[in-house]
Amino acid sequence: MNKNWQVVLAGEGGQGLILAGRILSEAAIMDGNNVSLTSSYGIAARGGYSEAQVVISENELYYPKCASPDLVLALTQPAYDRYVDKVKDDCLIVYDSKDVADGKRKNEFGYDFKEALLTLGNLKVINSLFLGVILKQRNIVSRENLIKALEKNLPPKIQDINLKAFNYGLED
Amino acid sequence: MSRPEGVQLMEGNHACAWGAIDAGARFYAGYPITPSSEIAEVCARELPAYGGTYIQMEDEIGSMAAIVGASLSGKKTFTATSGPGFSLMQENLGVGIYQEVPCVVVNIQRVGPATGLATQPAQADVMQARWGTHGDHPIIAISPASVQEMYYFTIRAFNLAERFRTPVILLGDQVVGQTYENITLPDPDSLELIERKKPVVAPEDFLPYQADENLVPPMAAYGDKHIVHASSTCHCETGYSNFKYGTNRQLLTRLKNKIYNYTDEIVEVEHFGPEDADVTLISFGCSSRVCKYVIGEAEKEGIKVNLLRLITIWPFPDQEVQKALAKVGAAVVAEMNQGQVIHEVNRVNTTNTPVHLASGIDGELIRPEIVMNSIKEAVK
Repeated sequence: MNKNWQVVLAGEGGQGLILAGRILSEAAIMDGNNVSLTSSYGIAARGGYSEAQVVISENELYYPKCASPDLVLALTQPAYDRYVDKVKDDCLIVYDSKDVADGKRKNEFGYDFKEALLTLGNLKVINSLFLGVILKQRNIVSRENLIKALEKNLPPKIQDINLKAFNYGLED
Repeated sequence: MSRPEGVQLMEGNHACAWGAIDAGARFYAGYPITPSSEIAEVCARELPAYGGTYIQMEDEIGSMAAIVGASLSGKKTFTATSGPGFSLMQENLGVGIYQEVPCVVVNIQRVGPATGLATQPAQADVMQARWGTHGDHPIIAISPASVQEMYYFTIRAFNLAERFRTPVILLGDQVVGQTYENITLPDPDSLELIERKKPVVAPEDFLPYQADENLVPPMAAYGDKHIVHASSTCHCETGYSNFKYGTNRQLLTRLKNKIYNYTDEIVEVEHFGPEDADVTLISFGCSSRVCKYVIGEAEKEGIKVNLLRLITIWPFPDQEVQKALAKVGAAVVAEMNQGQVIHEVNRVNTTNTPVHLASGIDGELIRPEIVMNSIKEAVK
């Protein structure tokens, strides 16, 4: 898995975006790459715009932010609106098809996260689910290492449901 | 949690705290403030296991006083803060300089003045680091640009503090403090650490402010057989206050010369990019990483650009900047303020090379296009 990637995970506070950024970053390090993870969030624990930016490179990493994202996950309308007009044509936007009004670009993919979470019976595993969903679309990191990073970052009693959510996203 | 082994995803502030612990710091006093709080967090959790002490103080005035006092008692000490706290530390920072107390002050810069754009990045405390405390004084300040450097430059800051017996500023910023990157901490035994010189004379012959050949007085700790007196008033070699004509001149001259006569040991820069260029970028800290990125972008547009990165900010790398300016048609200083380092660059600009400013004051890492626009202006 040695390709340079710039990934933005955007949504709102409480969706586990920054933890997901951490899991993705650790998987990329296990793949043998250099990584930079930055985040921005408001002062509220839940709600409010929140995002994680992950830059993955096999070379030395200069600019630590996503200058030109290859993939944007937009879980909310504000997140989608923030990026839709400024990303390059071949950047894939993965968006929440329930929360974001119909997409307007060619290179995008809508996914119904709410329905998947209801099927899984747990609304809290959205970050593991979206990691599966984006990995199905793009091979950003190896699946084995993502699973290892997921297990490393989650307490044992919630690992099973998160792995289930990740695999669901990967196969759905 | 114990010391992280192997390759890690680590935050810059955590790397700084581990650098301090590996440098032998065993006393931290501070008042947590974003975006520096994780340094306090790691120290609170880890220092006791190393036989060290963490104290959460009532404010930053007290924090600075505590690290000065604990260092006089023989420990390697430090504190971490951001702009508002750094302002409060200034008075006792001066005490540390005047009493020649080795210690490290980490300033993870954020937007000011006052509460500013809490807690977004800036690099606007450059002159405050130099002249924030009142009176005539030298200062050493170094600027990390990555998580790796947050670790290694913290160790370097302690080494400089011990070698020169003076407070050293680690001038970071929100970007380097709160970005996570991969890092492998080295074996602590492999690190080269400098310790303050101890007195070699008999206790009865000891004068606590009698300098050695390097202009630095050997240092005894409070409680040693060698009796120490440290005063924030003008003092002579005994450490007691002395207002005789000439004493202050002698003291201030030595304080300046103990650092400025040894800039070769202190000043570090990094040259990046092609040796010959149309434009030289001069930058430091997080902005220098944007510059490295922009060099590649400029190349695509047929403009040859290189970078002189200032690792040491104070004492200012006069000769290195002068040489870089003499070799190029135009220069751009990229910094996240309205122009601070640029004044120092112009001070040493004996070749009258046109110098432009790329100024990032938007509460975010300076955008590449701001630097690029200044480059284009410079080559016009």
